[in-house]
Amino acid sequence: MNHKLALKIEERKEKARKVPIAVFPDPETAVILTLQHVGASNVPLVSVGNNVSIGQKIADSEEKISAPVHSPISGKVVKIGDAYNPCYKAFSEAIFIKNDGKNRKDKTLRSISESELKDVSTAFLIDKVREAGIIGLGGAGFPTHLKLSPPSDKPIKYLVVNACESEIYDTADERLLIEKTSNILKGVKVMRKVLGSPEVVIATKNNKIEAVERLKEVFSEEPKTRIVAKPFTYQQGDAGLLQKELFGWEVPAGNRSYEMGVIVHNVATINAVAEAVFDGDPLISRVTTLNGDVEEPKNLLVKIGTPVSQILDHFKVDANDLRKVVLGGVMMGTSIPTTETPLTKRTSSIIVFYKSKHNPVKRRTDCIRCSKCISACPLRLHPISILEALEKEDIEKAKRLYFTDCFGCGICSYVCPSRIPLALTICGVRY
Amino acid sequence: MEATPKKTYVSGASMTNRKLVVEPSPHVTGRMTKDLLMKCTFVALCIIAAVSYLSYGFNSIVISAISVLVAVICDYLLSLIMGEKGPLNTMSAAVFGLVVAMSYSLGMPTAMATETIPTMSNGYEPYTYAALISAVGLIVFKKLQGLAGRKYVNPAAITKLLILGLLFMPAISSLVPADHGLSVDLQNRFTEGPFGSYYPMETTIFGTTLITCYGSPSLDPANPYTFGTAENPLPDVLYNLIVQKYHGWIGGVSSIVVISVGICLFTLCRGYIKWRITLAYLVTTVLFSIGMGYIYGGDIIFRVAFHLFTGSSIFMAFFMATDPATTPLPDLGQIIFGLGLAILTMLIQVYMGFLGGSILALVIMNLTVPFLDRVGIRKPFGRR
Repeated sequence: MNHKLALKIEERKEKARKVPIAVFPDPETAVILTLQHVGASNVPLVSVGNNVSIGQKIADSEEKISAPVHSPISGKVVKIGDAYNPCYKAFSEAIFIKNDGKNRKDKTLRSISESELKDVSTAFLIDKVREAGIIGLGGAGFPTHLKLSPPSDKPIKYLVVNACESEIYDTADERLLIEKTSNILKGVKVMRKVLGSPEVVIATKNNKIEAVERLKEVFSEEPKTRIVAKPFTYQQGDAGLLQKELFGWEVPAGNRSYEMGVIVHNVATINAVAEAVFDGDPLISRVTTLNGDVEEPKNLLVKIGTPVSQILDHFKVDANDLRKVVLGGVMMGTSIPTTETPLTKRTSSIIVFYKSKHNPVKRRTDCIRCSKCISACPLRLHPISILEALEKEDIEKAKRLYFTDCFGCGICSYVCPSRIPLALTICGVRY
Repeated sequence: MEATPKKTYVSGASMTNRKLVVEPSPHVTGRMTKDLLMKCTFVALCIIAAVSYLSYGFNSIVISAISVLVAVICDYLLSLIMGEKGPLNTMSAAVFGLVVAMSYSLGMPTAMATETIPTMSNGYEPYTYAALISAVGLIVFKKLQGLAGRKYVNPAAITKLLILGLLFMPAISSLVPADHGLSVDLQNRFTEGPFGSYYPMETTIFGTTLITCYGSPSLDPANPYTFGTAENPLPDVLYNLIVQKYHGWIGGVSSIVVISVGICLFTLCRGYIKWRITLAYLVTTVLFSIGMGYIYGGDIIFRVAFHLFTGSSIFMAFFMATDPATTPLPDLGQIIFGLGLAILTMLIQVYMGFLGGSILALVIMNLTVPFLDRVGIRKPFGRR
C-alpha cells in the first residue's frame, strides 16, 4: 500500500521514552468526572459532605454499557457540579473531593494471589474488572468487562495486546512495557483464563528497543505467545488496521473484532486488570506522558481527577507562555479550554504548546485536488469528495462515500497542503 | 556573577483557571504546504528555463521573465480588487507564468520557417503574445474559473489555444495555435496504410528528414550531421530528440532534462503530484507507437523516439498533465486520464497532421475529468 511508504509520521519520543515513571503527588482537590467511559451515564453514590476513602466507589450505573468510578484520594465531597470533560468535549457532572491527607483505604477491596487464579471463576474475574471501573485506556474508553464477555458462539482465537502507541508524543505505554512487564504478564494470564486460552499476540513498534527486549525476556516462558515488533505506521494503532497487518483480514465494517475471533486490548488496560485482580486496586490512577514544548518530558503515575493546572504548576510550566494543552495525543486528542480540566481514565498524555514555540497554523485555502488525502486514508475513503458533499449538505452522497466509517485518525488533515480541516468536518458531522 | 537560568518561572502567574486556545485535532501538520509545492515546481521549471538558453539564447529567458512578471502583477492587482474571494497567491501565479512561457514555441522546424509564425524572426511579437497569454490566462482561466468552485481546463493550455489558435490566426480554421506546425510532411513521402497515409519512417529517409527539418538551424543544410552520416543518422536523431532540441516549446528544449527534473520533483513532493498520469502517458505512447510500427512498418526505435520526444509533449506529460486542479482524484481515473491523453495526442498528431496536438488533447481530456472523478472510487476498509 502506498500510504505505508509515504506516511512516516515523525515521532517525537526520544527524550520522553528514557524517563522512568514518577509518582505524582496526590491532588489537593480531585475532580472526578462521573462519565469517563463510552456508554450510559453514571449516577453519584455520594453526596456533598460525605467522607470517602481511597478506592471507594462514588458513581455507578445500572445500565449494561457502563463502568463505575472511584475516589482516588481520601477526603470529603465538597461539591457535585460541572467540570470540562475532555472525553466528550463538553462540561459534564463531576464530584469534587477535598483531600484530608489521611490516605484511608477502602476496606471492602479484596484481591487474590496468583496461585488462586486457576481456582476462581470467569464470572468472578469479569465482575472484578467491572467493579474496578476498567475501560479501554488507549483512548476509546469502552468498558473492558464487556470486551471480556463475547457471545459464547464466537470462540476467541487471538488476544492482541496493542502496544503500538502510535501517538507521536506519547510514551506512557512504552514505560509500562519496560517497568511493569511482569504485571502485564499477569494481566495477560487473567485475560487468557477469561477468554478461553486464546493465542496471545503482542504488537509493538520495533523502535521501542528496550521494551521489546523486556517483553521477550518476561514472556519467554509463556506458551502460545508471539511478540510482533514491526515498524507499524501511525494509523495501525487502530484495532481494525492492526488486525489487517497482523492477520491479513479486514474486519467487515460495522462488526466488532470478536466476530473475527479477536479481542484487542491496550497494554495499559491489561496492566490495570492485573492491578485490579492481584492488588485489589480499582482504576484510580494511570500513567500519562507530559510532553510537547516542555523542556523535560515526564512519564507520571497520576491520580485520576488531578486538575491539569496542578501538574503544570508542579513542573513550573510558564503560565504566561502557555498557548494550548492537548489531552490524549496530538493526532486524535482534545485541546482543552481551561487548565482546570481534570485528568480522566482516557488521558494518555498531556501535550503542552507554548506561544513562543508555536508556528501559527496557516489559514485554510482552496483545495488544489492533489488527492493526497485519498492516498493517505487508511480506510480507503475519499476525504475531499466527502468534504465537498458535506459542504453542499448532500448527506446522501456523503453516505454513499461511507463517511460514517471514518474513525477520525486525522491523517487527511495532517497531509493536506491547503490546510483543510477534513477530519474535523467529517467527524464533526458524524457525531 | 550569578548565572541566570535559561527559562525563568514567573511566580506571580498561576496556572489556576487559565484560558487556553482550543483547536481541532490533529494538532500537528505535515511539512508540505501549497506554497512549498509551488516553490518546488517553480524551481524545477526555472532549471528547464535556464537550459533553454543553450538552444534559444537570451530570448527564452526574457519570455520567461515577462510571463512570470505579468502573471504575478495580475495576481496582485486581482487580489486588491477581489479581496477575500481572490487571495494573493504569488507562488501559484509565478508557476502559471512560467508554464505559459515554457509552452510557447521559439524554435520551429526549418521546413516551416516560411509560415506566418510569431517566432523571433517577427521582432517582438513573441514577447507580447506571451504577456497576453499570461495575463488573460491568469485573470480569466485561473482566477475566474477558480471562483466557479473548481477549474475544469488547464489555464495555460486553453488560453494558448484560444489566443494563438482562434483569435490571432483566423485564417486557419482550426484550433491549431499559431506557433505550431499544421503539417510538417517529411519530404512528402507518405505511405498508404490501413488507416490512411502516414510517414514511412524508414531509417535513413526518416532520419535524414528529421535532422534537416528539426536539427540545429546553424548547421549546414547540405551536411547537417554532427555524429552520424546520411546512411546512419541515428546518433544525430537521438541527440536531437533526447539531449538538445531546436524546435518546439521552450519547455521541451531537452527531453533528458525534463525527465530528470520531473523525476526529482516527483520524488521530492511524492504523493502530492499525480505521477500516475505521466507514467500512463509514457507507457501508452510507447505501446501505441510500437503498434503503429507493426501496422505501417518502418523502424520501431525511430517511431517510439519520434512520438515520445519530438516537439514538447514530454514537457506536457510531466508538468502540465499533472496539474492537480484539472486532473482526476482517484488513482484509476488518473491512469485513464494519462492513457486517454496519450491516445488522443497520437491520433491528432498522426491523422490530423497537427504536430503539437498534445495541447488540444490535454484540453479535451481536462473536460472528461468530472466523469473520471467517479471512476475507481475504492471500496472502504472492510466493505469489500
